[in-house]
Amino acid sequence: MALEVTNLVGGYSQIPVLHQVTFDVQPGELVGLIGLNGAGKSTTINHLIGLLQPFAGSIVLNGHNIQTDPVSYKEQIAYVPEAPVLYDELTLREHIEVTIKAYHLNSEQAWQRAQKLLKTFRLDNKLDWFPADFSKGMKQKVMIVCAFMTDEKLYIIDEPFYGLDPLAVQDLLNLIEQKKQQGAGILMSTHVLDTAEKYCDRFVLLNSGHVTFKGSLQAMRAANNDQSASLNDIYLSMAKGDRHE
Amino acid sequence: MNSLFKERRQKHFLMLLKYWRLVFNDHFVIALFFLFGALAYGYAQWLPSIPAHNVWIELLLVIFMTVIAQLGRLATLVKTADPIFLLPETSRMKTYFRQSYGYSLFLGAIISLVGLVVALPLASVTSRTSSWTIALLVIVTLFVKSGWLNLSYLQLSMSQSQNPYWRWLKWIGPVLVWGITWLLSPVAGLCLSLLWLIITSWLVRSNSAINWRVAVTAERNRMSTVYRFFNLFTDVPNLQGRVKRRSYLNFIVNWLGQQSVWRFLYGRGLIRNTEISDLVFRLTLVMAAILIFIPITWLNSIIMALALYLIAAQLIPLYDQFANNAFSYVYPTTKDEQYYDFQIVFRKVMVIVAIWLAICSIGIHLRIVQVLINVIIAVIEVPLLTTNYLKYRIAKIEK
Repeated sequence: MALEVTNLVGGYSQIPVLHQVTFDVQPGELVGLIGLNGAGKSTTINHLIGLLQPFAGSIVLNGHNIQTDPVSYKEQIAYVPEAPVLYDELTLREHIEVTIKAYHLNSEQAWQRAQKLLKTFRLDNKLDWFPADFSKGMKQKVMIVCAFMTDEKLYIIDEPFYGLDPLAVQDLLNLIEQKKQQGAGILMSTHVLDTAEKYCDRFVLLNSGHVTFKGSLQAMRAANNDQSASLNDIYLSMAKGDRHE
Repeated sequence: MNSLFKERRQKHFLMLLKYWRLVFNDHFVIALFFLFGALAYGYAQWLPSIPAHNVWIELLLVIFMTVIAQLGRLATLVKTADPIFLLPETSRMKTYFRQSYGYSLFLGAIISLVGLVVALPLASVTSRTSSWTIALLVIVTLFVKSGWLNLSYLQLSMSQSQNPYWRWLKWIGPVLVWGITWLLSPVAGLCLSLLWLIITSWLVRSNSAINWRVAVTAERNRMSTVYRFFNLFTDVPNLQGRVKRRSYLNFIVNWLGQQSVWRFLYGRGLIRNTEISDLVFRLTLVMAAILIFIPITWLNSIIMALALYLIAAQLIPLYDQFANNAFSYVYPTTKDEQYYDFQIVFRKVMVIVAIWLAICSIGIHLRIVQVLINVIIAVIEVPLLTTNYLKYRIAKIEK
């Protein structure tokens, strides 16, 4: 049991962007969502977090359907958006408090976890700052802290490496590894393919709203008849095929 | 380059037209008409009681006309991308800015003349005003505004934009001109205003190179004021207020909400974002002042009822303040919880506003009966506003 996306059709207006998208994320695995710009990665994620309503198909997490049982579904996910989304009126400390209230976390334990994360990302002395005072990278770190201080079943991470310094990227990868060990499922969309190749257990390749491939790197190499191909090579060959001549 | 300003002015007009149509569509504007009617009535009642040649009234006229001169800013219609795309054209931008000056003067003159029309009855009570004097006053008004806009232009120039002196002169100039006009004689005022116009025009002529960075910021600030005005009546997209810490108000933040996510957010969103709290605060102060000074019982009570409605109407957009934050959807909460929490915060603020207005309606003559009537109005109206009216407005927002 984990996240099961079945025949998802969806998009922003009447016209579907996603066509019959089906994939799953199992506990303890990191799944990479890969695709060109406009392939439908962010649209998929917006459906998974409940920002968009599916036209057809279902999204189920541990038996809770997002449409029929949204609160129980949302209680199990944590989200790191592509561009940092913060409340302008709240300080860093209050962002952590809002997260605690929203997920009904045990305040003391959650703060302990948060303190550890804040230290890792060198934010522990900035608790009373407003978002306006943070740089882009710091804001992204706040998003990571707020997501990873929870104890969720599924983490949805959208393009997390933009604007992070190499140290923070490494810290984030360690965090993901930790959560995996604890049995959480992680879905991560990214363009940073060499990192994805090293860390992801499986990949979901999206192309024009269709899932074109699902599986491990080995399986992908086999499908491309090239045992030594890197994820980058496979991605580029796919991109060439999609180029409008 | 000659047609650029015309094109932009046309687009700007269309945008304004679109918003004005919404303004006159709203029932909020009916309430405002009532309010202006009440104020005009109060003004008319007050006039006969003023003695002739009263220095205080003349000083009031000076202050009023000086403040009026500050309204109607220089509208350059400059856009953020201009410094990049129009950089090669900088030397040819003179025509553009001359046209923008003409446009701003036209609008500014209308505002100033309306102000003068409001002030004239008062002026004619304190001193004799012939049609000859009125003609002089009109010319003084135009000269003052024209010179004021010259200084606005100077504040955008390369050489003078760092000079804080001009900001003060924009107040000192009108104060001097109107001081001479009302306290001494309109003819002397006219001479001074002509001098003011000539000097400021000469200053502009000798400092015409534009500081793009300052011009863009100034125009952006002006547009945000325009949008804020329209936001009183309708929802203007992407209008963001500024955030202030206001730690001295933390006790209110804590009182408004600590327990649940939405009360936590709404309490902080209201107090720290200047957008809605400033508006509600100012409206409450203005309404309280009106209630203090209007002695006619039925009129006072009508204004009390209107004030509660107007303030409630301006407070409700707070509900939607976090709508474009994705986490409002990610957090495991329901719409019902959000509505319920907003209602609590909304009710708390409305009760405080109602108590404050009821206290103020005791007025300068200590009318206990008026307070009692206004308390009864509040006891009936506030529950209606926080249930039925709130439900109606939220349904409109959610649609």
